[in-house]
Amino acid sequence: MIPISYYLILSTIIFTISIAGIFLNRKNILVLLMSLELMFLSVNFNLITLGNYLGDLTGQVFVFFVLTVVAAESAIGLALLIVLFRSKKSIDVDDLSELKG
Amino acid sequence: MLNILFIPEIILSIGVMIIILFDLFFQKQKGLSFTLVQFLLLIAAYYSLDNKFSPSYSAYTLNEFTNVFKFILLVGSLTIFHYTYKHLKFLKILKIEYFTISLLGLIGTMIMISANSLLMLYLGIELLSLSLYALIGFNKKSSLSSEAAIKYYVLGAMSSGILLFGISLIYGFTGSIVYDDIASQLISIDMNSVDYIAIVFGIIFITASLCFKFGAAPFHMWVPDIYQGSLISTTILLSTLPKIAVFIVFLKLYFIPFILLREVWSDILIFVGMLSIVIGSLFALTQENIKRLLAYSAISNIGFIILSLGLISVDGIHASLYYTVVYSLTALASFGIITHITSNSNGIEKITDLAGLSKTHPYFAFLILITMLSSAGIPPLVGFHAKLMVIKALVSSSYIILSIIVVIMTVVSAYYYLKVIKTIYFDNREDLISTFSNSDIILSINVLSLIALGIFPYLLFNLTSYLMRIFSVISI
Repeated sequence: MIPISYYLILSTIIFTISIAGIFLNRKNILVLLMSLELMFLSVNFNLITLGNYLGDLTGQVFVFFVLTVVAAESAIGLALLIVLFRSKKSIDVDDLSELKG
Repeated sequence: MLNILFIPEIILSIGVMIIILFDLFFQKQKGLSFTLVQFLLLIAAYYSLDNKFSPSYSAYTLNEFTNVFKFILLVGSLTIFHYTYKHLKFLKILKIEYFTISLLGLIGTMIMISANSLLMLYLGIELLSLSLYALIGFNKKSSLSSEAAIKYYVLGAMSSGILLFGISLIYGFTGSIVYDDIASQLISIDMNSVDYIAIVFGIIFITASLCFKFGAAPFHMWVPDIYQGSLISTTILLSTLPKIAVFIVFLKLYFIPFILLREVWSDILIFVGMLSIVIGSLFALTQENIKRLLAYSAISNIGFIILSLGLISVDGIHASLYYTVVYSLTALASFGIITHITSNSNGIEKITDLAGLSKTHPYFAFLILITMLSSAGIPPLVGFHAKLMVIKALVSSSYIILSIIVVIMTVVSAYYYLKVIKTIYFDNREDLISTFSNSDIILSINVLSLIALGIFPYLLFNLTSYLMRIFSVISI
């Protein structure tokens, strides 16, 4: 039997990797979107583990809601990416520098 | 009368679908569709005050407190839509989708206000954020708008992820996602256990995410960029509806389940509040874009609200309630005036675009004068009472040094508000600025309310102390 702390540590590591991916990534916005997906998956992992540990279904039901919302969210993100590409002809993070003051 | 509980939410949800269909078949009659939107909001506002009180529903609560705030949100968005319609029509990008998406965001804020479980809270926040992503990127012709949208999208999704991580920790170590159950679990928690540490981490994660949604200082980097990049009509929406909703979430989440761990979050909120006030006041000094200036002013105002929440005293909560209402009124007025003024058939961007406004349009110049003086906290106007209440609450909680810093920062912020007034009244410029109407009745009422509530402060004071009484009944 694997102790629960291992699961929690794993999900925390995945969460940290995704945060690092968002802040360290200097190339492409698509990679940012992938990091965001990774972040939500680590949260789902956490919720399922804790729900299972507590013997409670709430955690698993929560995961369904999160998955649905995240699917809608990434659809909007990709749509915004297309709008951005049309106006700027590039999806590099470095090109997002018009707004300054 | 049917025994349905969430009538305003249901009316709005069904109404949004009807408006989408109506707009599909009558694409030429934008005015008619817009009248339908306004009519819908009026019905929802009527029923929001008439709403039933749920005794204690596990995930969703209705009581007088939430009903009053739903009414404020509905009336506020009626005003916002009034400004928005004229502005979009002038810029020739009027689409009814703008209003349907805003209505969905409005439903999101109403869910946030009524939420009594962390799942409902998450869904409300997401419904609001998803609408805002679309609204910020609405001006597809402008590359600034799409850049702002993608920036807000990445940061907003990240903050939702952080919120969810906090929620998962709270859920895992208290065993429930309903506020009341969390509160009863936290009573019996051992200060030295692993559970306590995990819950503290959860609260810190949730606080960071909510502060991001609020636009408070260490998480404020998005605010000026997004305000500048989006349309002014979206900026009004961004600076009023989400702030009121997040404020209520703070009130309901922190003063009901998390009140037992007050030593954890009280210092964080005071720190965030002070930092917001200082950064908002100092960084605004060098801004030349009017929207960026108002964005930093919003950050410093949010700082006042969070600071007085962090005091955890009755005076502090009362001051933050009062400040939220006053801030929303002022933001509505100041952005509302700017939607009316145009320069070279575009919206206003630079502060210098406003030069000479007093010669050509004395009415609008006077309105800006009143709102700027009220934001600066000049006595006969309502902004003065709001700032005074926060400082009084600070002094009565014996944070003397902090209150001195707050007063100094208020003086600093008066500089840039007065700079706008100086540009309007004393600078001249050749090219003409124009407005698309000579006067606007709702705008006048909005600005006059700043004067009226300033001269008769007990009008608003009575309302907020009434809300405080209801809130203390809920929380105990």
